[in-house]
Amino acid sequence: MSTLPFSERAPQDLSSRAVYVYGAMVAAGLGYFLLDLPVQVTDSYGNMVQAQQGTLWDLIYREFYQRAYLRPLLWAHIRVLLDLAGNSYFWTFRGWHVAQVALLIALFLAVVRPRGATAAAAVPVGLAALVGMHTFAGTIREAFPVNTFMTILLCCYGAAAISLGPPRWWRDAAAFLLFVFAALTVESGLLVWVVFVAAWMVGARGVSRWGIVAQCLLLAGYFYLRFVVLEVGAPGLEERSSGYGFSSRNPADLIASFGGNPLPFYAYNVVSSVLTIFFGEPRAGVWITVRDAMTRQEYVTATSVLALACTLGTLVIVGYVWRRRREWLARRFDRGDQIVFVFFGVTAANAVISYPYTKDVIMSPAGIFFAAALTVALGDLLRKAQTAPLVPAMASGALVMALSTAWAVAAVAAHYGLRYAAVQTRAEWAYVDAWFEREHQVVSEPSALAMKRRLQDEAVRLHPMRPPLQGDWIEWLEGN
Amino acid sequence: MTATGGAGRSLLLWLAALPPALATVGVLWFSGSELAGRTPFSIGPPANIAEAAGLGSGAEVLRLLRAGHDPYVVLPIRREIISSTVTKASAVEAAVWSRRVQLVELLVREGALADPQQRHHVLCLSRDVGVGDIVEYLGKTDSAPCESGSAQAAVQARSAP
Repeated sequence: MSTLPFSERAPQDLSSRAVYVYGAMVAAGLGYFLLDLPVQVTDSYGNMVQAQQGTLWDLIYREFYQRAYLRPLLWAHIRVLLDLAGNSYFWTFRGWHVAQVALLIALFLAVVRPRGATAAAAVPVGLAALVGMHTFAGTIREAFPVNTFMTILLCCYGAAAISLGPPRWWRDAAAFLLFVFAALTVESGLLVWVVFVAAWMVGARGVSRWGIVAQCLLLAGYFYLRFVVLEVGAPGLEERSSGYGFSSRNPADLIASFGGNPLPFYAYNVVSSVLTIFFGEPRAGVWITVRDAMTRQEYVTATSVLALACTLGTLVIVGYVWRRRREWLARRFDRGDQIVFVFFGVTAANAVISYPYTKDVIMSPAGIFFAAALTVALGDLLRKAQTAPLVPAMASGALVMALSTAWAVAAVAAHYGLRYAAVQTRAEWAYVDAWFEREHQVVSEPSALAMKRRLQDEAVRLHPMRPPLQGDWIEWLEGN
Repeated sequence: MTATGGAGRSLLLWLAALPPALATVGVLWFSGSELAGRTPFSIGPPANIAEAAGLGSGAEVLRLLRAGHDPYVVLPIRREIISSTVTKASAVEAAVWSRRVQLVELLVREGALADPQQRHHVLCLSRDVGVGDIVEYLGKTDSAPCESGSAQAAVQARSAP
């Protein structure tokens, strides 16, 4: 059984250590751009005001009795940070976001654990896919004021790291706690169960058989609590806008089109969610690249480059599965196989739970496992290409070059997206009073008013706007 | 013949690693330059409140207003911000060329257009420049006539070298 180039042992050689330095560089670059992003008005300020009401325990108790959503620990997370923040919201919430991103990159490296120069050479592409994937953008450009999706990404990679390690009693306990935390944070937290079970199915024994039984009981308990005890229910068509075909449709349109029988719409959402991971299209249910090409004759856009990156990545992953088919059929899985299999499992489950509406960021758990699977598959491709005849080796080289360049562009676009979001967020704070008037919202509570003034001051005066970027390629990136 | 061997092997690994590694180095170089006070791919920060208004940056205008900058003072504006014919204007005038009614609303909200004469001048300038949203907004409280083209001509005459 092959265990190269992704090993269960700790990395020993220089190139394996170098990837950790490289990971720190990626985290530093992303962290710099994240620290330019003020706390948002929309989706953040209102949540912060709500989270500061009453005691922490009151807040958690209240959130167990909401309609459609069961997210008590999401609110507890916000409240704890608010209590820690005092009067410094920017540094607390932005600092926490940067720490989360750094931890995610560390977990990525802990999961793929490359060994040797060949596997290490795949890591920059994997990290570019991690941060450049369109599903990742919503985990860094927005916050509520804690980005819940990012929290779940950490839980999912954490679950993979626990599963793929050697059996230990504490891993069962950690898996138990991780499930409870993730499931009570947001609905997509249930995907940690998928990670544990998928990894176990292909021989990962970090979590024991009894640990997996406990996970299944927890999952059943979650559904019983949600639908029988608390009667929280699930969101319907009236909750959100969603993409369909070449445009986004508001809830009224969706009800008019699918109110009688929503199943075709749900099926569209599930299929779209799978396709967006493998091919970078559709985006939030909308076929943007196809639309731009057909109606505007725009072929080389930021979205089409991302679609190319995803498609080439899929090609590399499918090639890996094909090369490993005999081992897979004989159920001989190494660590790399386990990562790729978990990617397929998470993508399928992630798409299914996205049935009510599609949004890129909802598929972010599948997106981060795409990055991990791509790193494994590319490392294997590089290893095979080194011993291949010249012509196949050159074909592999051309594929690798195109893949690597496309993901490099996507990674740069992700950073620019943060700068763009920072400009938009500062504008929101500048015009916040007009926005409240349009929304017919009146802020009268003294503590809420003080918080608004402080957040505006942080966004406008204490952390002022950076000089605007200009140039043709900047305009090109804005299409992402 | 295989790709095995030092050069072929290294080339393949470099093909994989180099583009994203260069992107990361580029991001770090950009970050370092900005921390050192120079933002690449930029014409630099607005030099004054009029430039901020011309760029349509509500956040920067608000910051400078609250820091005590005068929105009526005529200031030099780099030609790449509005145009080569508008290089000297006040913040309230430059806001018209940003074509953002939100920015004019912000100036009103912050008391920067409390002077009826200035407000009327900005209304006439909006008519000359053809910014319907701003004309509609300011026209709600000002129905006095404007001499067509004179407000814009005044700003451009002042900007002439």
